[in-house]
Amino acid sequence: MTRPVDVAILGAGIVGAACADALTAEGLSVAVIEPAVAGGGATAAGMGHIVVMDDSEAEFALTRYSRDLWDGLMPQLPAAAEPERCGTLWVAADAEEMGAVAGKAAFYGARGVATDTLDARALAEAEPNLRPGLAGALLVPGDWVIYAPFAARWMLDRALARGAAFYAAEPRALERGRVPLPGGAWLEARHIVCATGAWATSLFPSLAIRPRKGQLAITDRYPGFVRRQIVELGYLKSAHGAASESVAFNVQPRKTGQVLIGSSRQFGVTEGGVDRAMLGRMLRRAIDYMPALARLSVIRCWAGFRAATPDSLPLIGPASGAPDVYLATGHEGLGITTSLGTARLVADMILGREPAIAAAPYLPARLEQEPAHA
Amino acid sequence: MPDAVALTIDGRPASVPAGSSVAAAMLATGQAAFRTSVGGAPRGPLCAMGICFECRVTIDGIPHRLACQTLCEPGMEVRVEQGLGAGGWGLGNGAALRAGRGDEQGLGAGGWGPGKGAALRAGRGDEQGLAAGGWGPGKGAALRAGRLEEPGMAAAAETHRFDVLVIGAGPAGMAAAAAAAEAGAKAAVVDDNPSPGGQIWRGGSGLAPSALAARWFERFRAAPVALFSRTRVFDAPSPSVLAAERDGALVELHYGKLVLATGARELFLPFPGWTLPNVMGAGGLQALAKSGLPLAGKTVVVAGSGPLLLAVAAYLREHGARVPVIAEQAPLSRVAAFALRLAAHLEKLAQAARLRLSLAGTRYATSCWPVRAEGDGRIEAVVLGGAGGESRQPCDYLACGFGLVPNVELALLLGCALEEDRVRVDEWQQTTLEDVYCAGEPTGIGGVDLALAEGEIAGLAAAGARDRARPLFRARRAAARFAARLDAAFALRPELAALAAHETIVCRCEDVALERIVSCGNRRAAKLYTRCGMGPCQGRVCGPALEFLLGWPRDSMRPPLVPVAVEQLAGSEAPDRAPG
Repeated sequence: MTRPVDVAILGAGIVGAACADALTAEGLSVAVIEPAVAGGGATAAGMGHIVVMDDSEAEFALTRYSRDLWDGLMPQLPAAAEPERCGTLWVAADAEEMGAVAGKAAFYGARGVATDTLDARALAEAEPNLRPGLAGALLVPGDWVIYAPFAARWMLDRALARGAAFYAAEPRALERGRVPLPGGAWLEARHIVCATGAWATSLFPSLAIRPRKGQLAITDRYPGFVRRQIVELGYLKSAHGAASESVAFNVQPRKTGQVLIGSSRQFGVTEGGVDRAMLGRMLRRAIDYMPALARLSVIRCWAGFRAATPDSLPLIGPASGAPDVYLATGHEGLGITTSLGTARLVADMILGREPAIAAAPYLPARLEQEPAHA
Repeated sequence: MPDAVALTIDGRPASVPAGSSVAAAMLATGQAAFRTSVGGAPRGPLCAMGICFECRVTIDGIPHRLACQTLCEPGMEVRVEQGLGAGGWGLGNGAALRAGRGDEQGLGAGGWGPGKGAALRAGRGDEQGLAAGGWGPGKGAALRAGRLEEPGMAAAAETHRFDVLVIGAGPAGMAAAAAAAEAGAKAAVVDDNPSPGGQIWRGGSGLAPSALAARWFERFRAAPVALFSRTRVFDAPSPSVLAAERDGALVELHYGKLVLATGARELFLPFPGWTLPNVMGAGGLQALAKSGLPLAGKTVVVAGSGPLLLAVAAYLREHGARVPVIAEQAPLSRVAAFALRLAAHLEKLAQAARLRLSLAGTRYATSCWPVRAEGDGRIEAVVLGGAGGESRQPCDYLACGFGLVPNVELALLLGCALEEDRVRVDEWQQTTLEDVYCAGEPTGIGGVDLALAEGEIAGLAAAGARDRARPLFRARRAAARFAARLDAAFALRPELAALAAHETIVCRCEDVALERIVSCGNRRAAKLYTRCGMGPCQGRVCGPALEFLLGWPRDSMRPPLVPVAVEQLAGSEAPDRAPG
């Protein structure tokens, strides 16, 4: 018989690991259930960009809160997590997009997030490998890049050091107050946190989550080739548009000197391999913005699935029909950033505390048309 | 000297015989360290066959080129790669690649960095484009035509269609392509080396080591086979299509039937000091010698396992090297039993006798293996251990191979089923995929005779001439029996798995020590948390080593098969521009 715990966490991606870290820090007893390698799913498939977003007030609130939490955690992270405060450069291709830069600058400025507006010349000096003729950019200097799988592993290890249990198992079903383990055993838990990303629908089939496939490519080491995380302003159209397929120019300098090249989005695909057509589109778009990329050597490509919701906001809070179950999923492309904020919200809810930011926009109930939990 | 090529190596002028590889030229001029590893240690070539990526250098301003696969050209500027570790080149801080070149800006501060502005912008005649040397330190050095065009140009795809496409121009591939073409198929063979012959017949017909090779080169030349040399397959982007890179351009190869003859690479096992420059593969040093490395007067210890060691030692001695000892890990009893069996194979016996003769004066030590390599900046001595106790042998090179690893990466990417580490084939050499055949080492290490028999059968079967393939089954059976004995005689002893110490580097690309890897418990975790196997060799060196050391199974295969330029992976369509 396994020891009953306060909280069973399903999934040891960065969200599950952050929850385990936060809940054990509160003194709760925790068990983590993960069938594979911690941080090996969407956590490893993404870019590890910690970014404050301005697409909606709710998205801003959670990303801003989370980035502040990352700011506090960074000094403790080991070097292998490769933390680098390289900032984000939102690139405007033309005058129209430059108008969007002004809007973004005003939005961030009004909310206390530092930015710097670059004109065409300043942008060319800041990133000489960008194509000439771009209109300018908004620099958000406080954003970070980390190597997320290691950060997840590190947070999980902190939880384990505080006494958390780890079970290598895949939870295929839930019952009230308990989770099945291999060999017929049950893990009893007062609360269950479901942090299984795009796979949450295997436990909660009616959840409004759709897997959104993405591809990335990484180069050999070319230190200094790119300095900031560079994202085209059109990215927001790609990330939040309803198009079934889209690509955006999004490159990241890794601390290793490698260049990570993104990004693509695809709905309606379940095959997990690298999609050559989407990869090709994504790389050609990257070359369009950054011609010198063409000659860099790619050493690896991969694909993964983000957990997308209809309103691009995560599901954080009680699952309807299963009040002891808290969802912590639906983070789409922002799971690395928002993992820390999510973990705090979940901890506050479990402990009955008032959270630091309003939790309402993320509550799963907002999207439910029918009882989700049979 | 009409046959000499003048170039500069790290700023020093050098002159080497025409046809030398950059790696051979560097070693010949005393440059043992080709690059600084992620952890700051000097490194030089290991495999010399385009697998390990240890010989990466900057050539004419282009970083990360494989010195072993590149031939010297007049005026070439070769530079050692330093400071590639975290922060080394960063942000124009001047740290960049400045070994001995105070007068020039390094890569980080120059071409890429701030200030120079327009570097590397494609398609802009008014600026320094790539072809004008924007990237590189020297203006004149410049990206020679034919090797590096402007990005937009190079992406223009070349497309070819063949009935039978053969990958690999070693014995199996040459036999497959020749047989398929003789049977009337439109056939081609693709190979990443400068000339056909594979590793065993490297250097082409001019250096053919035997009458057998000469016969096959003649047959291969006579057959109407299209040959794509220096062409690397990097992906299988859609059914019946392979994507390859040649001279910086994309080549799309469409096929009716495919024959995989991708050969094998050497198995490297880690031991303390194995990362020192001038510790290299046995076949690797031989390959370097064939591509121009002079060995006269050099002392070479040959170590590892298998009959390849004898062939390598004989070759090195013929080229003036002193080979005081061959350290064979297998025990004498097994090797002797194997030698007796050779009597059943007359041609092999003659080969063995020739080897013995040419190796007079070289000690053949059985139950003996390298325990550690010692030296400062390069190997100076190897400590051999085993049944006879430890002894220290000063040397210039350690040529060290522990057998062969089949190259099954392309088969895996295509989805062919494997059996252990071999591609599963039926009697026609057909894999579990209907249109894909496989011959030679990828179906199991078997040597040249088996490779030729399998290649010929595969080529004929792929060309639809099964009736002509059947009579070759007997020769294949005989060769397979011999191969099985070879396998048993030179089986690796478990003690070799204990040579690596906790702190011994296993993943050379990312400098990951054994203890960090072991602590992760499995390959996937080791990749994620330590970067083991995440470098440009994509685990081809550390993967088989960890399979032997820890029993960790191999990884799945993803594109690209080998590192390839972004633009080639991007394919040939127009740039993806935002609408409006």
